[in-house]
Amino acid sequence: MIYMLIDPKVSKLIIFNGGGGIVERKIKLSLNQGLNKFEIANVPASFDPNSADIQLEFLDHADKNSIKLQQTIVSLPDKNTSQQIIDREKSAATSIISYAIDFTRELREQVSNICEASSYRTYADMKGVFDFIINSSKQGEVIVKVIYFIADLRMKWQTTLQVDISDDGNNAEIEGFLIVDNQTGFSYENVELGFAIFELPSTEMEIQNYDGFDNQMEMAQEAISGLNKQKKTQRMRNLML
Amino acid sequence: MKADVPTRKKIKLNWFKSKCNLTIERKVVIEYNENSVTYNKITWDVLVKYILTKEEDPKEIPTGSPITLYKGGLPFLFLSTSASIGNKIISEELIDSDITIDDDIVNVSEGEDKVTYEDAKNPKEHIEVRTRLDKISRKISLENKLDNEITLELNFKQTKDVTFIKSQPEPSIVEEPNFKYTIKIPSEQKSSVIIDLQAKIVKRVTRIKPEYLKLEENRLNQYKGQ
Repeated sequence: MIYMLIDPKVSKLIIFNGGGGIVERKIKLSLNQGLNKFEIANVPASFDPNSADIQLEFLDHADKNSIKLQQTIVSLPDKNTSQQIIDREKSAATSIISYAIDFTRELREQVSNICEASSYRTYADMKGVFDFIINSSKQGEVIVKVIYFIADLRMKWQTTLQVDISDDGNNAEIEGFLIVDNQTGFSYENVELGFAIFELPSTEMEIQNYDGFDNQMEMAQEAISGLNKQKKTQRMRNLML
Repeated sequence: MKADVPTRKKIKLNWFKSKCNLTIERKVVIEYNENSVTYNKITWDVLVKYILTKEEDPKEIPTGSPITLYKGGLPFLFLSTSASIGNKIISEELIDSDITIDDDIVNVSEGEDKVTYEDAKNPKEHIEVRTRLDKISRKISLENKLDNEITLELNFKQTKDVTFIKSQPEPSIVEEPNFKYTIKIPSEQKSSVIIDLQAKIVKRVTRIKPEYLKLEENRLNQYKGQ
């Protein structure tokens, strides 16, 4: 069995106005005959393991019978250990900041950026595990599409409207802007953006814990699993893709 | 739409730009109960909302999105959206502080009491119900402090205790229990509506029944005699 660490490019990011979103990543993989195990890099711990999905797009239609997804393996990092690491990093950052006056100007900026990043870090910025195994009866290639929800309220969008009223007071020119707020520890470069009016259930409790970390991840996961338990319909409406 | 979304940053993207029609809706709902109808002075708030009707394809705007209104290149009002229906974008309702409404009592003509009795919990007591129908005139004065003419809808809503008799001017639309007036007020001018109302004033007093009152008196006299 071959084992490979892959970092599929984020091709599409659908952001919810209430926080969170759906990430779609794509990569073309070369396969050996037999079992091929892949580990996806840079999966945030805010991803929902239950909704994580792998879709295969075959370059040749005949590959459908010879290339099969055998299984996916997902897990989230341990909460206590992650918290200990975060606390340690924060404490180290505080100490470094205390001595930053001794650094040169350029170095000081770099150091303060690193320290700032660590001071904002939460469990959701840690890495989750998302592996998958493809069973191939021959050598070949396949495009793999990776889709997962992220339950992180620090990523959201809102609109802002500017209305310029004419002198007669009856007509106006309206200009709409989309503001994407990404306070997570992950960057998305040259990504196709989608915006949806959607709110993950039970977010009220999550917001209360926005600054404090306590149980945020657990509740975020509950929020996603709660999607099926909702009595009222809550349809997601796409603005654009 | 493709973009970079860097970590711990906010990005602003152009979404749409189009011409739109602007409608300003102002309304006030006036409603009394048997107590408030007799108040000497009441002030009412005018609610205003802005409706923008886009010319091109509709856009779904989330509730609570901020809107900044500019006039002559300067921002003059900050609102947020309450809904978007089709190509209409509707703002939240705000109290229009530039339109004031004073509601003063003009005349009260008290009716005659009609006394009826109802059973009380205690069999020795009964409830005396005094009902009278008062005729009340109220003057509603509306002042526009803006530098442009406005149109507002005044809706008098009659209740079980306070009913409409007549008004000066007549209502534009009568859809009982609503009596609606479409009022135009020029800039820095006043307008008024005088409404004649009938108020049902009911007073309830629990009293000892007369027969028991006599017995009580006798018992009291006996006690004094001892």
